[in-house]
Amino acid sequence: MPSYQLAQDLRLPTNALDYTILAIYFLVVLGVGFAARRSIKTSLDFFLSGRSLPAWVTGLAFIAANLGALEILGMAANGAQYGVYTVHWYWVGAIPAMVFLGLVMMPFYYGSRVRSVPEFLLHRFGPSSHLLSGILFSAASVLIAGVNLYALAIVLEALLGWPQWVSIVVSGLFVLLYITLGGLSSAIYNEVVQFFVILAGLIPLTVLALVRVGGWSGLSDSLTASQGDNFVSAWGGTGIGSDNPLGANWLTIVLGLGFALSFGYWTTNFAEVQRALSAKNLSAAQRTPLIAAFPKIFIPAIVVIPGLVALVVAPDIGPGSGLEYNEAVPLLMRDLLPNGVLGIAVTGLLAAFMAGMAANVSAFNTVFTNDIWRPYLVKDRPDSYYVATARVVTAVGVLLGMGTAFIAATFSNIMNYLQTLFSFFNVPLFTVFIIGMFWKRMTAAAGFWGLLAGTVSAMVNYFWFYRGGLIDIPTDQGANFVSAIVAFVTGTLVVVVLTPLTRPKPVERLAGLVYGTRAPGVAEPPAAGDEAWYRRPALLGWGAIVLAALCYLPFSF
Amino acid sequence: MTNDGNGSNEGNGGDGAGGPHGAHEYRGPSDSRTPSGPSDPADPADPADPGVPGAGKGDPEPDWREEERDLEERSASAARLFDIRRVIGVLFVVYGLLVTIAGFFVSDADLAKAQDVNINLWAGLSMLVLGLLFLLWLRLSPTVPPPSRREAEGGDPGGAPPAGE
Repeated sequence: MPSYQLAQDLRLPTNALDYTILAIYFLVVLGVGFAARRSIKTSLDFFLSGRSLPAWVTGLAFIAANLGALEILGMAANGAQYGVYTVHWYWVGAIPAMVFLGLVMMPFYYGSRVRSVPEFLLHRFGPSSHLLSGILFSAASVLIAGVNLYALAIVLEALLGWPQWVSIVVSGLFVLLYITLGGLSSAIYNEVVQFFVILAGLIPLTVLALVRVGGWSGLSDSLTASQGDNFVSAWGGTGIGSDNPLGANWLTIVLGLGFALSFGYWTTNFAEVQRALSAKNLSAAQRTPLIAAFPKIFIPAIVVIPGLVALVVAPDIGPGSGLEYNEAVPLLMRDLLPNGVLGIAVTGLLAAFMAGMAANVSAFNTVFTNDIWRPYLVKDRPDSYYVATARVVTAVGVLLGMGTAFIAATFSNIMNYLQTLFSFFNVPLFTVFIIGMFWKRMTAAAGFWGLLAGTVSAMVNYFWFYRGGLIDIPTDQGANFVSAIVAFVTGTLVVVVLTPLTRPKPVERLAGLVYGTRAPGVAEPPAAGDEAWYRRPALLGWGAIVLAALCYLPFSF
Repeated sequence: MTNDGNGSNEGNGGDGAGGPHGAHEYRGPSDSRTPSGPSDPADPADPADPGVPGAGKGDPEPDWREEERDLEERSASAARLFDIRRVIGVLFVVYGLLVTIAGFFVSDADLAKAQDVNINLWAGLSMLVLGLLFLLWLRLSPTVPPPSRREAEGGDPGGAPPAGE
C-alpha cells in the first residue's frame, strides 16, 4: 500500500477532547442500535422500518447514505484531480436523476409495495431477471461496502496510526453490531445523525480552507495560474475534440454522466431507494429524494473546495508524489483544525464511513434475504425465520466487505473504482427499468437479456476496449462515461430487438407496474398536512432543478 | 408529525402527487385481490396489447401486496420507534458545549493554525444552536401516537405503548 509511509506525516494532532467527542458519538450510535431493537417485530420492521418514517428522516438518510466517507474523500480527490468539473456529478448528474426518481419512478416502487428494486423486476418481468439483478446487486453492494471500509482505514491510519487491516476488521465489526440489532431503523437514524455531524466537521474546514488561500478569488487565481483557465470552469474546454482535465466532452458528460450513469445510480441503486421505501406513505416516499436534492446541490461547496485548496497547499498532490488525491481532506484537517473542531471533523469522517457502509450492508441483507434466499432457497418459513436469516446475512456481508476492502486499496482514486462499478451494475438495470415501466409490451426475456447484455457490454468496453488500448480515452472517468453510454445503448437495442420476438406478460399481471395501469388497492388518501404547497413533489422537484441550473451560472462564463 | 403510516391506507382518494395511481378505489384491508384478478374493473385492458392469454390463471407469484399490507398492520416501528430529534438535539447540545468551552480557552498556537479565526467558538455556538433548535422542534411538535388500525379496532394487547420513547 503506497500510502502507508506517508500516513505517518498525516498523523492528526488529536488530544483528549477529540477522543471524548469521538467516544460520545460511538456511544450514541450503539445506543440508537439498542433502542431501535425493540421496534423490530416483523421482517418489515427489520428491512423497511415498517414503512413508518417521516419524509425528512428518510430524505436526510437518503443523502447521508450517499455522503459516505468515499463520497467525501473521493469527491475531494476528484476536485484536486479534475478541478471544478467535479460539480457535474452534482448538478447535471445527481439532481435531475433524484428528481426523476421522486416524481416519475417512486409511484411504481412505493405503490407496488415491493421491498426492493430486484423485487420490482420479479413482478414486472419474472424470476430470471429478478435473480440476475439480485445477484449483481448483492455483489456490488459488498464491493462498495469494502470501499467504505477502505476509506475508513485511510482515516483511522491517519488519525490513530493503526495499520489498515486493524481498522478494517474493528470497524466492520462495529457496523455489524448496530445493523444486526436495529435493522434499517438503526441504519437510517444513524445516517440522520451522521448527516449533521459531517456538516459540523466539514463546514468549519471549508471556511478555514478558503481563508487560508485568500477566499474564492484567491483560490481561483492560484489555480488558474498553476492549472490553466479551464480548471476553475465547469464547461470550459469540453468541446468535442478539445482537451480538458476530465478527459470528457460535453456530450459524454451530459449523456454518460448526466443521463446513463447518474440515472442508473440514483434510480435503481437499492441502497438509496430503500430509504424512500421506508417512508410512511407515497407522498413521503416521493419527497424523500426531493428533500435530499436540496442539500445535495450545496455539498460540492464543502467537498470540492477542500479538494481544490489541497491542490494549492500541496501542488504536487497525486500519484507518485507520496500524497494521494484521496488524502486531500485529512491533509487540510491536520493543517487547519484546532483540537475540538478537529474531533468533530474526525468523528464526521468516521460517521460518514459507517453510514456509507451501513447503507450498503442494510441493502445487501434485504436483497439477499428477500430476493435470493426466500424465493429460491428456503421458501415458506415463518416471518421470524427471515429476520433471523437477515441478521446472519448481515454478518456474512460485513465479512465479505472486509475482504473487498483490500481490493479497493489498490486504486489511487476510489471514486474511479466506484464509477466503474456503477456503470457495470446500475446502468443496464436502469435501462431495463425505464423501458419496462413505459412499454407494456416489453417481455420478460427482453428484460433478462437486456440486463445481461448491458452489463457485459460495459465490462467489455472498459476492460477490453479501454484498458486494452483499442480506443483512446484520456482518463478513467472519461472511460466510465463512455462505458455507461455503451451499456445503455446495448441494453436498449437488445430489448427492442427481443421484445417483438417473445411473448409478453398478460396485461392484468402488470397492474401498478407499468405506466398507465393501476394496482389494486394501492391508492392512499393524502396524510394530514400533505396538501401544503411546500410538500408538493412537483414544486420541490422542479425547484431543485432550477436551483441546480442557477448554480452553474458563476462557473460557466 | 412523525408516525401515522399504518393508518393511511383507509378510505378513498387520490394521492394528489401526480403519480399514475392517482385516484383509485380502495375499500380497506379486506379489499385484497390478486393482481391477476380477472374482473378488475379499474384496470382498463389494453386492446392494443397482443398475446394476452386469458386471465392469468395459475399465477406463480403470491399476492405480495396482501402480505405486505398485513405486515404493515402488525409492524411495531410506528409505535415503538423513538424520535430521532431528541438524539440529535442532545448530542449537538453536548458537542456545542464542549467545543464552545474549548473556544473560550483558545491558545495562540491554535489561533495561528486556524488562520486567526476562533473556529472552536463559532462552530461550538452553531452546534449549540442547532441542538437547541431540534429540542425546540420536538417540544413544539411532539411525536404523535400513530392512529393505528389496531386502536381503531380495539385489538392487539401487545401494541401501542405511549408515544415518544
